[in-house]
Amino acid sequence: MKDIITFSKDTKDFILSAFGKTTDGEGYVVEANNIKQRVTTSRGEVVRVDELAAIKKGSLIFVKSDLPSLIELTDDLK
Amino acid sequence: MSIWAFILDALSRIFPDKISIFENLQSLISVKNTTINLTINNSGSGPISFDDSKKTLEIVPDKCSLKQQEELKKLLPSIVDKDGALIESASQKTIEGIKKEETTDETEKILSFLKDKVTISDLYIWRAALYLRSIFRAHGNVSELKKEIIEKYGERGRNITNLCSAKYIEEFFIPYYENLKGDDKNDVFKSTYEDVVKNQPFTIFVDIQRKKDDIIKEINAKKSYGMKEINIHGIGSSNIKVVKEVEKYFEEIRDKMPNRIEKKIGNRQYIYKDHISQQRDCVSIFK
Repeated sequence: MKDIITFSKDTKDFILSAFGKTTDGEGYVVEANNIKQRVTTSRGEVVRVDELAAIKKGSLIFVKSDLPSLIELTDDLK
Repeated sequence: MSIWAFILDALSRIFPDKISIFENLQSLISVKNTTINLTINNSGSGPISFDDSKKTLEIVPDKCSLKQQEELKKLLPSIVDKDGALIESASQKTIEGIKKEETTDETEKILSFLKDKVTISDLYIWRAALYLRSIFRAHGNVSELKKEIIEKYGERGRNITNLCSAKYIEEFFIPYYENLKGDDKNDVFKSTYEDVVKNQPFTIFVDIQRKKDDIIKEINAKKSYGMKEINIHGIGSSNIKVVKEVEKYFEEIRDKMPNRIEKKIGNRQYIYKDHISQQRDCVSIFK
């Protein structure tokens, strides 16, 4: 079984900060050093902090928490 | 160096006063080959602790010193780089639920059937729909999940989710394929599958946005296109309410024209009789 490393909702700001990200006034994940630059998923979708499901490797990929994205993530974690 | 050797080495430098935790973990991992979970949350009591019963190492950033927080922030990208992913707890539960559902005999059989018959994109939709169905069966709320599928896959996502919820995979697609004969059975299946998924020729799924009149209009449209059998499905209490209204509409017509419409099979089928051509159209209602 693969190691599971998780974070709770209340640590999202801390987690984002560890990766040089923060949130803008509208709740989107953005670059900490350029808050006009919103972070996107591998499909090019912008990510709201409340829908952030995972951060995975591969030049840092952000994953949204909707069901289809989580099914794709399930495959990636196999 | 394994991921846990790397993590424990780094954490022992960030939390030097908790060395006993890391020694205990080292022994569990290397001697007993135990899987350990690492969770980062702000609801715990200590800066770092190990729950032996859950085999979970918990780090609480809010309870760490600023220096420890900065060290942890430096460590996290390296963990992702080595381990592959850092997952939000609620999403991790969903992932576990998806994995569990996909290893049940029922779902495994369906996915195995679909694997070489539908596109990769459709297979993702079916997987999402099957997970949604499992939540619905466990009396969970599926409206948000359905919305997410429709947002990502549009009308096709909606149609497949509806077909899946009404068991069309087990009760139509699989038996249909098994009864096909000839070398072109895969092509015939793909053509029918595409028609059913795209046009839903013999099904009407009642959803919360549609009223009784919309459903009756759609029944009449499908009948006028020559469909001899139409199934109406309503899943969930608000949809069943609309289905009952549609049923009431048929009852009223039947009262007025008893020779034109008859009721059959557990009171759920309304058969239209055309006395001139002897044709019979059927509307079945499933609640």
